[in-house]
Amino acid sequence: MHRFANPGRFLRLADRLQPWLIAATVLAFVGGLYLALFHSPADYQQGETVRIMYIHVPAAWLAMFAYCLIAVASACALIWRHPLADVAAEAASPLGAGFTLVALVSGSLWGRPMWGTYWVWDARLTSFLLLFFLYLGHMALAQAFEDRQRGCRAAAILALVGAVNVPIIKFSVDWWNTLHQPASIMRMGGPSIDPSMLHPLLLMAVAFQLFFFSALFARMKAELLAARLRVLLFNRLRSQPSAAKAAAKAGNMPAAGAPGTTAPAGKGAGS
Amino acid sequence: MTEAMNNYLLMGGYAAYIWPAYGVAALVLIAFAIDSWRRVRQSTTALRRLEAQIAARDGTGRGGAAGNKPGGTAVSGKPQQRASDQQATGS
Repeated sequence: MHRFANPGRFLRLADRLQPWLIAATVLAFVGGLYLALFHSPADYQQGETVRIMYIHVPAAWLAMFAYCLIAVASACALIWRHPLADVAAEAASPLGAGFTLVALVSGSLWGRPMWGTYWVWDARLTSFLLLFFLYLGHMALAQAFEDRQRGCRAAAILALVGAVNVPIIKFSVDWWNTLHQPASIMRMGGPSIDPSMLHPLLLMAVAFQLFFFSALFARMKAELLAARLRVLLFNRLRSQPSAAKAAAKAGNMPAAGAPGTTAPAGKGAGS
Repeated sequence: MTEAMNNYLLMGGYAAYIWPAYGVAALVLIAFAIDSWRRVRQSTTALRRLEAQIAARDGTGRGGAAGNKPGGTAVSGKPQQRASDQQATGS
């Protein structure tokens, strides 16, 4: 893993992987949606509403997976100062929040016809709502400080503390009374769901997962390039005292076209 | 044919729950795909522009102390043109 902690190496690897990831995402979604919407049968109890499962369950799994990834990255960032860990955690956070929202909304739309209510304050639903707020807090905290590193540190600590919520979500259906059905895939004794529904579910889960990684790599790449841009701007300012003075007057960080900084290049273009 | 399709879209009377669930998921996924792609494009162009600017300045003989790595991936094309564009927007 340490070999991929080098940002340059990560960028090369991500660039090479990205087209394959995107192609695999599209294929998995096409196959998964076909199975989920056309090929799979209606449930004997829930009727057609069971099709909401193919959205709801993969989104919920991914929401929890993304949080675990953020927690691990945060630990790496705090302990080893991996150059990529903070970038990964910050890039994964909005994605996780989005998938949590999808799981909450689709679950709500499933609950109305099956339970007779959009929402109940039981353990599973409440702990999942808490996950959503943890994501929002993580995103806000990372950007709440003028010093990026301090923001990332604070967000990393929040992510680690909030990680206790993940097992609570997972086992909430066993520990407390709830309307939510218990685990039917990841349980002792194997899945209790018919293959005609298990296969579309798993394929959709793969599709969501592939989507997550291609979006994550793209966002990490964007952030790494932006960081390099900041370093170049800073170096250029330092090498040009007049520009540094102008920037100090204007604020702490210059825009790309700050007055004065382009004077030498402009002269070159004119001659 | 259309009747079969209608029946399908009605989803046994649960259309009002099933299609919005798929719609929200599609909306979120598409929004993320577009946003991620735009972020990559924006930072790529901004970085290229700055690197071209630095390369152009080095080319006029005034640079060298800019602290940029000599192996940096300066982009071919018209760096000086870009640099003067920058100046126009900056001033």
